[in-house]
Amino acid sequence: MSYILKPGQQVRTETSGMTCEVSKFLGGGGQGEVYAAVVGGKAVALKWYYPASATAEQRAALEILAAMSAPSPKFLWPSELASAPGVGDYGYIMPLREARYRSIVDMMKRRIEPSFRALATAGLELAHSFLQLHARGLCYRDISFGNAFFDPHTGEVLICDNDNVTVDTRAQGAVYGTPRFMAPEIVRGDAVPSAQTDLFSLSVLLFYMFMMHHPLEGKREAAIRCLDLPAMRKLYGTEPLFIFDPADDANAPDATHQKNATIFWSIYPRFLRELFTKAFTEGLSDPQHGRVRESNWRGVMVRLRDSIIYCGHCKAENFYDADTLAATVSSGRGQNAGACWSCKRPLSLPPRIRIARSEVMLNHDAHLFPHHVDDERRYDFGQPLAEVTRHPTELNVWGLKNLSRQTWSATTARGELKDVAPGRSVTLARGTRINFGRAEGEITF
Amino acid sequence: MPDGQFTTRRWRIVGHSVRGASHERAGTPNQDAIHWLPASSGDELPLVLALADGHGSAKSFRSETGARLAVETAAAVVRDFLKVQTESLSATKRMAEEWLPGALVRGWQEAVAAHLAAHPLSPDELDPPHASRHANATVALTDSSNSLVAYGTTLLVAAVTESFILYLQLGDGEILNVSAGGEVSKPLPEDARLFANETTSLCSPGAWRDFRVCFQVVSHAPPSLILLSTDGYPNSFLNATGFLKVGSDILAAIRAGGLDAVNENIAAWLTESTRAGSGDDATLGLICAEDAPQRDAHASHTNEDAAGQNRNGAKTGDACDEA
Repeated sequence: MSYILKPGQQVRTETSGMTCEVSKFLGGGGQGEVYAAVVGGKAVALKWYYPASATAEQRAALEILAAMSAPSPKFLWPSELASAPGVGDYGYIMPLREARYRSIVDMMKRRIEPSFRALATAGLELAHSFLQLHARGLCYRDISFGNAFFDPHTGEVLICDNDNVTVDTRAQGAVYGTPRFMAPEIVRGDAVPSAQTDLFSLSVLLFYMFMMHHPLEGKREAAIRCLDLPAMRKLYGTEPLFIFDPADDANAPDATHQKNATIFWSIYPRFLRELFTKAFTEGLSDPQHGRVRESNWRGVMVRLRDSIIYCGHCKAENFYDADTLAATVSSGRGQNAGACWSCKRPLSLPPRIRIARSEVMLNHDAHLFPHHVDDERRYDFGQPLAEVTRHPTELNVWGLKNLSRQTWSATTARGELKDVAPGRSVTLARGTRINFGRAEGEITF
Repeated sequence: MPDGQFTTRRWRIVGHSVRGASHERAGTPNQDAIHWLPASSGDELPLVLALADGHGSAKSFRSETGARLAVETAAAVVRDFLKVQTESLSATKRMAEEWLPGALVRGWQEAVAAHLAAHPLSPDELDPPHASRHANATVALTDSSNSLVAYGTTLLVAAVTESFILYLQLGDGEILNVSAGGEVSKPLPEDARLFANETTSLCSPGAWRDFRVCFQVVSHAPPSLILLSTDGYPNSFLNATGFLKVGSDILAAIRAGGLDAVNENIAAWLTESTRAGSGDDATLGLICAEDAPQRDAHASHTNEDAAGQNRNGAKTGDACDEA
């Protein structure tokens, strides 16, 4: 295939005036091509626009973006424009995406199979990243799974294609989004992209990641032979209906072609399903007040991480669902954790710790992080404060090891008080309470 | 299937499919299929070319029909999809990547279901005396959800519009681009799951996920020739490099003698190739930019190169000498 720029070709960065040498073609999109390149010995990415997309408006938008810093390192933000003598068009420089980050499309196609923990972490990072973008008064305009990448092992995300970002409400950009990810009011022509419409697209992206399916593509989509504009307008704009709308099953998933959605939906705990239901019921009908905010998603994603349990038989990740558990207890059926979604055998719950409003499953590989013991701390999964450990000789005894610099105080169910110095562990026993300093947790079974 | 050619203002499609030498010996039909749209006169883009290679295995005993249904359905679904795209290129690209594979699978499954309804699996097809031929198919195929396996096939599609070229591929086979300068490249990434005789298939669960899709904007240097082939043709070559050379050789032959002459020779090349090489059914479709033949003066390849040399050493370009 022939590309706009050739390996070895040089272009010039417009602000710093440095030489940028093209290394290789990385990929092409609807607006231009992206290359690996080198500027001042540093590997970067260079996006070069096709003539039809290299407009004066796009250049002006890029100049604004390049003049501001990225909302966070998660954004592959334009750092400066680049042009070349003899080549009429222009491009821009941005950080290079490491190979460990994979497209969400790769997950849809099962080329990568991340754990639920990685997926929940990715959801958290996406919500947090877009919160940071919106907090700056910016609007992404085009959230879809084509422009979000994540590390399938850790869930760390990167957001690319930031050249369509505009100042919120200054909606003059050329890009109105991808039809299936657009808010209904944009599809109908009633609104232009804004932070509020970004929230809808974010919900679609998250739903897609967790259910491997689009939230509005049920029976009605399965019946469409040709997805033309009138069909899309109806499906995503004028008559959008959530595939799991509790009050209307007219667009429920098709049993033959859309099985995935139903299978995944049943795996997740009620609190996640409820938030998706809100996003695609109230969020459809009331754009101003019904949308799920980034902070709501963030909280739910953290809770989802904390709810993961492992099947004792096949080791598959499952979710602890406190709501379902409470329902079984109150109905007199005892504490029933349900069956593994994978091998169908009964699940048993690990010890848990309840700290303020959160409940964390103390699996063999569990960690507590700063946000668990201090509401004001940010999510930082690189700095665990505690980890579950096994007693070196008594293999049935498990403990929680203090990885922090503070001494905890623990009170057993029988009222015995102990200090747990950094590096020491406290036995996981029913009723033991641990004071972490700013919060207290209680071990339950 | 339309053999022959079709002319548009800017691009032309030609192609042929031949029964494999081993299939001739065994008395089995050609389980490849080729189809393109528009099928008759007219000059409107988009052009869509589809090829399919029915598995032909014991379990896929209706794959000749499966391949035919695949190319007919795919050409129609892709053409209809392209005709209604008025969004930006970025939006069209995403719809092509995200929605179209599912629509293709669904379209094929529905066509298969309709065929099955009209032609239920006969006792003869499921009868124990045929069990050796159909291996363990009997038990599996009595379950209607598994009857798709009887029609199992690959699918390759290329579609040309004024502003972009779209490629979709499920399973083995080859799609090549040849630039105006004769440089040959593959628009789609390799699929690591395709090795030996393993292939992804329209009848696999979640088949839409296995599609490889490339959306190529027609920018400064669109390809002069697009070549689609089922694996019976490339498998007749000694190695991958030998087959890649076919791309530039065919472009050179087109420039030297015109597309009509090449078209007249394709079936002969394929026949010779399957006899001396893979023994498998072989199908080749070409989408050629009309400017390609006008650059005759720059053609540097000999006609003998045109279809390369197969792995048994037989030249397959003999007929091309006439071009």
